[in-house]
Amino acid sequence: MNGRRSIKVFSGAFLLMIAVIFAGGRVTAAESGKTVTIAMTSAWDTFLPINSSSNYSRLIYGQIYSRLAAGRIDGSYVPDLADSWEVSEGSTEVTFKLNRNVRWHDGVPLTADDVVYTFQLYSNPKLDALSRYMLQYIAGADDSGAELSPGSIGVKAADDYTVVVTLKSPMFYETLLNDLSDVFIVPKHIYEGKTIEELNSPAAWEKTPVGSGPFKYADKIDGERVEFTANKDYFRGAPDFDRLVVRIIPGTNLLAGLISGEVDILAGGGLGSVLLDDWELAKHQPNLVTESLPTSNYQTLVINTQKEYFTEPARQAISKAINRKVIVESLLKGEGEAVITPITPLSRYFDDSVEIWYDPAEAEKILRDEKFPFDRELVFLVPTGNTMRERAAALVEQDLERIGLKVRIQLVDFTTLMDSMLKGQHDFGIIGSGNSSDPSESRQMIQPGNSVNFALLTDPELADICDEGNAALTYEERLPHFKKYQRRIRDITPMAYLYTTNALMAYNKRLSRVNPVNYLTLYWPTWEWRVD
Amino acid sequence: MIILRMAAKRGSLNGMKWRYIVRRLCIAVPTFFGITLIVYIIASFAPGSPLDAFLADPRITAAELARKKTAMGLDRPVAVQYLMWLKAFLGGDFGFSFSTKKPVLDVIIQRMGPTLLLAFSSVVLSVAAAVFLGISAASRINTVRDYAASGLSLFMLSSPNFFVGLVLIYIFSVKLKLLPSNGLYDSAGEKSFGMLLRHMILPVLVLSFQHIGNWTRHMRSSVISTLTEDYIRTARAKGLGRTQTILRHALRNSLTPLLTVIGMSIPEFVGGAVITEQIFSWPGVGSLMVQAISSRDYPVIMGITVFVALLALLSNLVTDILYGQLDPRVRYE
Repeated sequence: MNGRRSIKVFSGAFLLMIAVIFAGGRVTAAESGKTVTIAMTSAWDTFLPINSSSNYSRLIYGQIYSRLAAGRIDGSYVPDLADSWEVSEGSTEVTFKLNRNVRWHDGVPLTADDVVYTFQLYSNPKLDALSRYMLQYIAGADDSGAELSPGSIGVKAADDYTVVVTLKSPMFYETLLNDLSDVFIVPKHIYEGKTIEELNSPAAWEKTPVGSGPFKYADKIDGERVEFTANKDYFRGAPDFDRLVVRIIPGTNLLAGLISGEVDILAGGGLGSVLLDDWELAKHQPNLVTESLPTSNYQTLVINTQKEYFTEPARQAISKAINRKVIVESLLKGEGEAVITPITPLSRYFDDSVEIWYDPAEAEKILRDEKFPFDRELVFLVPTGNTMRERAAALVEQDLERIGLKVRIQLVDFTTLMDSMLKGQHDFGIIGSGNSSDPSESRQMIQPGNSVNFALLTDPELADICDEGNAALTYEERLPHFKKYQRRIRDITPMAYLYTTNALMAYNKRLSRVNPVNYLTLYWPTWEWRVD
Repeated sequence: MIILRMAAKRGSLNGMKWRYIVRRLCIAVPTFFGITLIVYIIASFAPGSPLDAFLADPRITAAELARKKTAMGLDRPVAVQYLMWLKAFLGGDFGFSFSTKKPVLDVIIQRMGPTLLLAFSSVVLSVAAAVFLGISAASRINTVRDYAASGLSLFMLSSPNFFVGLVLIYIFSVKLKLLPSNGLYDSAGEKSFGMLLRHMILPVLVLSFQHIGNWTRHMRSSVISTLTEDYIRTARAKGLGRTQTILRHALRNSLTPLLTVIGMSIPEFVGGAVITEQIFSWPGVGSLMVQAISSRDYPVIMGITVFVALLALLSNLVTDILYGQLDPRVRYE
């Protein structure tokens, strides 16, 4: 082959390749009409709903499966499989009336037997079930949610469409609903008769999962996407579009995907929101609707209470030295709120009389009175992966140095942070939590001996107040306990709670009836979305 | 070890070559197991455990964590854990992922496809571009063309992948809306080969960027060195044009040193495409490795280590053998 001929051949091949590339079709989500793409920033882990601790996975489950009820950001619960529920006198039983028109994706009717089977399956200790704790309040289960004997869990079918859940002891029913809202019901006729080995195999759950949710599983590419087709027989109304694609996209590319039309809507909250640095740009995009949504997600400065120099007055001084207002106004550009307890202004248990402290002069005086070792270098562990948190940590460090402390920030990955704090290798750490309407959400983090008690608090007073609140059966009876909890947690200061962050939500203008506020409580009613 | 020496007898060369290959493979075996041991120790002694990753949901009970710990074999000493992994591996069992519970081999094979596609395309593009730019620069040394090609290669070599990726996404996806910025396929429409090619363009460009810069510099110096050889002067004296001389005589010999560099880079393409795969949501081995490390998923970390170690050892061996094939002066000892 001579040189000229080679050039011709290569040119031809190149042009052919270009033709194939562009003939392959550039079909953006916006042009395709009836496909909607949701973006989240991390992948799901497993398709066995009870074996996940990941909210990314719960977004997927929420499309395939249904639950008895779903939680909303205002603390209320909406019917899902259950049209209604009733609490017995004395709060020992909750009776759920199921919707009679629910069918599994294969056409089989969903009945109370499926619900009972699901709870029996999930409470089987041989089943891999990381989130079995969601069954912990039900009679016949131990504190981890595992059945005491085969089939002992207190969930029974009164008739084909009535399920009765018996509680271990009288309790506020919304605390139960908070857990049950993440228990996805699976079909008895598909899984009954399988061995525990088969049930523990991922293949049993992900090959062709049969659910009762608004979308049917269609396909997936691990680490990249899950594809669904609309369930035209969905009992709450068929979705307005034919296909739903949930894609994994890094946070830095979310806005690019929205602008280019590759992404229609973000998963919201911690699962996928516009980065604060991109927010102004997002607000000026002609194809996007943007909403800044207050959340209950907070960041908190963990203080190692086991260090002898972090006495209660010293911890209070640390909290008083931090200028939360500057963090919110300068760093978060107002897209958040300063807090001093884990019960945030969104909660109906929030007590606005618990004032946020800021008095650096007073803080310095307290530390001097406490004979604080100012020459000691204090280790401040900061997890990587959240730029705003890293910047907030730098501001906290400055505030603490301003009152004479020597603080050394150490950047670590999240797993190292957890491990180091549990081993007490920190003076300070910074960590996020929240995302719940339950006022006792923070209980585990201040409960002595708990695996997430990073402050290493040994005083049970705060956990006891939470327990007293949880034992009360009505909102009115609970309120004083949780008001007391807010005052005491500020005074004891196992942590210096810092700020909440707004979820910066964006979606394509072709979508309507999106109502993203409830995504924060893992409730994505995709069947209500309308697509132009 | 390869040394350059004039081959006296062609016949003995093949025998020496096979002896050389067997010897290299024998050395590779302990090297391979040494790598697995070191990686296991590093992974196990890194702060944090696979159980910590589950604490993202603080409500998970200690009893459930204890069950997981036993099921994962984490209640045993690290040495025992490694020996158990080794025993299973020698029986062809790579174990199960801690986070997804899937067989590690299945997970890696599934992710290997997209990675190899990206790697192979990037190697082809990088070699083609580096050869073109290297020859362009070397054939007109110390001219504007040389400075331009050398400057471009230096720019490419010193541009970080994440930055190039974001710039390309901004230009081609956000502004021009010409190319997709993530994933293997669009959300809408039938998945087709053309669609896949469109999705490959930006990640392949990013993954190739630094390699083109690096290899261009090698190619340039190699061609410059070859052009000073007597046989090139002879060819030119016989009246052969500059281009024909380079393409027919200088190119093959100039490629030999580049081959070593390319061979050494192959494991980087497979195991090191972490940033590119992350930026473009490319579901390959690199992004899998990041997830596995952050969740301390030891079986997956070990599985990827096995593949990358094997690839590194084999690509080095194949490179050395090819080196001998391309340059008959090379002898195997």
